[in-house]
Amino acid sequence: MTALLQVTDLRVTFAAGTAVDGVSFTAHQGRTLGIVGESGSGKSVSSLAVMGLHRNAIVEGSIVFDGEELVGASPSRLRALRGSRMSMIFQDPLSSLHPYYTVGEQIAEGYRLHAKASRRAARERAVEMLADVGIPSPRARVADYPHQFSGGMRQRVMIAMALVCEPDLLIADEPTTALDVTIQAQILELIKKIQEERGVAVIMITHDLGVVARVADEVMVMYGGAPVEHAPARQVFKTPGHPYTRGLLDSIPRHDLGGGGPLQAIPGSPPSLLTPPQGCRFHPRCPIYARASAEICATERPAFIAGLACHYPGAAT
Amino acid sequence: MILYLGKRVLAVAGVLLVICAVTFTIFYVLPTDPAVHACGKTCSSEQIALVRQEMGLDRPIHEQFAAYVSGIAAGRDGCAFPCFGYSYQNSLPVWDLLTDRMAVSVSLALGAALLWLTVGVLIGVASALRKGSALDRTLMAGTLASASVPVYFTAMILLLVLVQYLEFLPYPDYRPLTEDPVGWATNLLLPWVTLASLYAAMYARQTRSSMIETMGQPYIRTARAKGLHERTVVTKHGMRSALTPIVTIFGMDLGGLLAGAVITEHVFGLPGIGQLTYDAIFKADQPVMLGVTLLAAFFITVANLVVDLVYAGIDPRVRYA
Amino acid sequence: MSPLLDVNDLRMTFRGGVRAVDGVSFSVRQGETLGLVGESGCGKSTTGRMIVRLLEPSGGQVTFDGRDITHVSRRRLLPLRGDLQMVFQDPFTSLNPRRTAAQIISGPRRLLDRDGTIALLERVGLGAEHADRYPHEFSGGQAQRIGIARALASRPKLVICDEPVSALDVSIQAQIVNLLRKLQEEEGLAYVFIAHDLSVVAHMCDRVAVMYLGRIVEIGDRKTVYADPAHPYTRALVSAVPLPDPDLEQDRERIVLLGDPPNPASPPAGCTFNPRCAKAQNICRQEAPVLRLVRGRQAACHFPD
Repeated sequence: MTALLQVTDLRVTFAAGTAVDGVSFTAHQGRTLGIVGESGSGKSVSSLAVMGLHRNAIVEGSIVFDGEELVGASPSRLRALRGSRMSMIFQDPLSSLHPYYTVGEQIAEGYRLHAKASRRAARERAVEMLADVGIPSPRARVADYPHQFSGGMRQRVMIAMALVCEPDLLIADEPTTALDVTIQAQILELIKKIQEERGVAVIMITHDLGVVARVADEVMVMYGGAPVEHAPARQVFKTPGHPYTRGLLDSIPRHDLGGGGPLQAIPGSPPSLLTPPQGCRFHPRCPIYARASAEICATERPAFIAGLACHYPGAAT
Repeated sequence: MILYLGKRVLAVAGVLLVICAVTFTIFYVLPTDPAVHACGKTCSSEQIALVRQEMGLDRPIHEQFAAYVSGIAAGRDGCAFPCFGYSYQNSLPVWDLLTDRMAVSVSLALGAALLWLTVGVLIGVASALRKGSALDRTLMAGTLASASVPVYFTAMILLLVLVQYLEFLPYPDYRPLTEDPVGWATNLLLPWVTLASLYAAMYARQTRSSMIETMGQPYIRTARAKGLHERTVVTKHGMRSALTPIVTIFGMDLGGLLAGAVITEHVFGLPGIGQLTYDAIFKADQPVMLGVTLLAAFFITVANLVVDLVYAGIDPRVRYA
Repeated sequence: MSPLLDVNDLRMTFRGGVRAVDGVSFSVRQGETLGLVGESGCGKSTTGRMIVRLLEPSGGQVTFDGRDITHVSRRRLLPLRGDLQMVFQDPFTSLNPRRTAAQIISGPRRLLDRDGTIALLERVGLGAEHADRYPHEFSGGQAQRIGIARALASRPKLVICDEPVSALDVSIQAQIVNLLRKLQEEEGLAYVFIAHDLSVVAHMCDRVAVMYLGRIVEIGDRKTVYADPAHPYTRALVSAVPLPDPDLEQDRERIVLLGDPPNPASPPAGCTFNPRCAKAQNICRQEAPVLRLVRGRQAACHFPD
């Protein structure tokens, strides 16, 4: 199966430092890749790089979308792809929608641009999209403003906006983090339904391993700007290979297991972008390093081999 | 909407009445005796007492105030509506003095406003989009300098260079727009530039910070993610929000200037309301001062109302309530 | 033994008639943790703020340590302030940026001397080297530790924790949950733990109260409520939480609620949950159910599961 999107050795550098260093992944039609990480792990930075949305950063490496290299592509070429063949939805739907334009105008805007549609046709299309994402009485609501919708409905509007040009790739950056849990369930169902109907490739970026377990076929775990583990979802959850993945899974509170007891926390804090630790970026918090205090962990950055970046593969399970 | 408008108009009337009462009281308790001013230096005390009686100054303050307000609202004997009383200096109706000079002040304010709004917003947007660049730093240093220089200094420099040495422009001498449009513009150009240079600097700085904030908003990222051209992102999505706060201050600034730019008018000798104010203060011409104060209050409160209405038109989240 | 905190029919009506909290009753015993869970707008934070009197209740009664504190004056409340503390969601906005950690902890009334402050810093997992730093020098997890130390300085009996871990990364969340548990054991503290995350609440609480639109719909022992919810809303809420296990996620029955929570300014008649409830009957649209005993816990439902 040829990949729709192939990212190889991506590196994103800001004036303040390198936020992403050595990220590679692929996305396939009809499948969902989950990218998991805590704040500062580089998961959002990577996806914004795919969309070509970094303005004050140096993006290196390779991003091949449907056979076309995007790193170094002209801004006009990237604009032609953005919103038409690849789309993105964001964490906070309220601030991600323009407060002064009706949702209909905002959905129609991209369609008019990319599909060269008339104002009237684009408006009809917006009504159709609102209906598709499950907004009741779409013909009336198309003229409403974002503040007149609830949080869940706004995220549906964002999804309608992202899908208006039938993209092949949908990047969802923490799409449910700002929403309540019952609304989160609705939105995840909707994304799943859309994927089944339209066969889009989905990249789901989240800090919530539960969300990933629900939707992802494949999971990439990121830490300190680089992937530490990348494997099919079941494998990541059942037999995590990296001590960070293991630690993350153990630290999640589980109400279904009875709760009550203390949690297995990972000591310390995530590394800073400005002064990342030498060697393996996870070693200051790593139980393997604490136990064996292997010098190599503190001096040498582990290579990413067979879906794992660890000097002691297998020690975590 | 109608109800809202009605409420707001009533509120404006209320505010004006309060301002009127406060100003009236202040002038009443002032130690200067208007009758002395009105009568002249050679008057005897009997003559002054007669004048005082004629002017109604011997009546209690609330009666005087009631007479004043009803004069404005409906006119009073011998003084046509709206009656703001008569100037102590030349016994002309204050209202006529105000209307005669209004055209000058309005010409000055509107022309300058157009200039500073255009220049200020352009500088602000350009600066914001190239934040941290040499262009941004140069523009911001320039606006800081421009905002720090007093109006009379700018005016003097401009007069000296453009009028005196280069003889590029005539010395400002007001011509009515209806009689001589070209003369009107060329003669007002210098005052416009002087006034605008101060305001444009402030507007540039406001626009810049507002624009920087807006361009960092997530919905700008959404607009880019749609594949829109950066030009569209900046104008349609960025400036629309960034200029909303500018509308507010613009309304207030313009409202304040319509009732006269005292220093600018004085420096250029323009016969506007600012000049009238200047003279009235030095001659203790209380009816004129009172009239000018009320006119200024009227413009500012009305500008405030207009701004609120415009705001609701721009931002759909604002509703009349 | 009488409870440490007793909340009886507490109400909060905001301007415009929004009933944010509409008759909430519960009690907390010494050394116990009660979880208040629910989605945004359910009134859980408002309830917490009324208990510590950051908000003035519109009705009902708050009894703390045997004394009615519902409407006591600020001055009379002062001696009780030490016994009743609060930890907030965002550690950065709730700490004064111009005070050092030590100044924040010992507070304006200088409750602790330098040694006491450092001892407390150590107990929350920080050290003497952190005493003279300002809030912006700390990470989110560290700042929340300072917030907790500040609350503990007066040796309170009850701490209201309002979403204390929801702004933190997953790995840090677990640290703070463990810290709060450890401190509870050491001090015999009681907590009211307000959170939207049912899983975190499961790890913190002995008892749990589920709120919906200003009312408690189910309250009882944690194990009873989670393992076998009686109220359809609780059931939906529990089933909606994503679990980090793909197999479970595939197999488990999931109730996806339709629509959004109703507007608290115009709540539906009868049971406020009825428009989203699959089991709603005529009576649910007419009569508001009251809490009653259902299989070992209280639930407000005409047709409990």
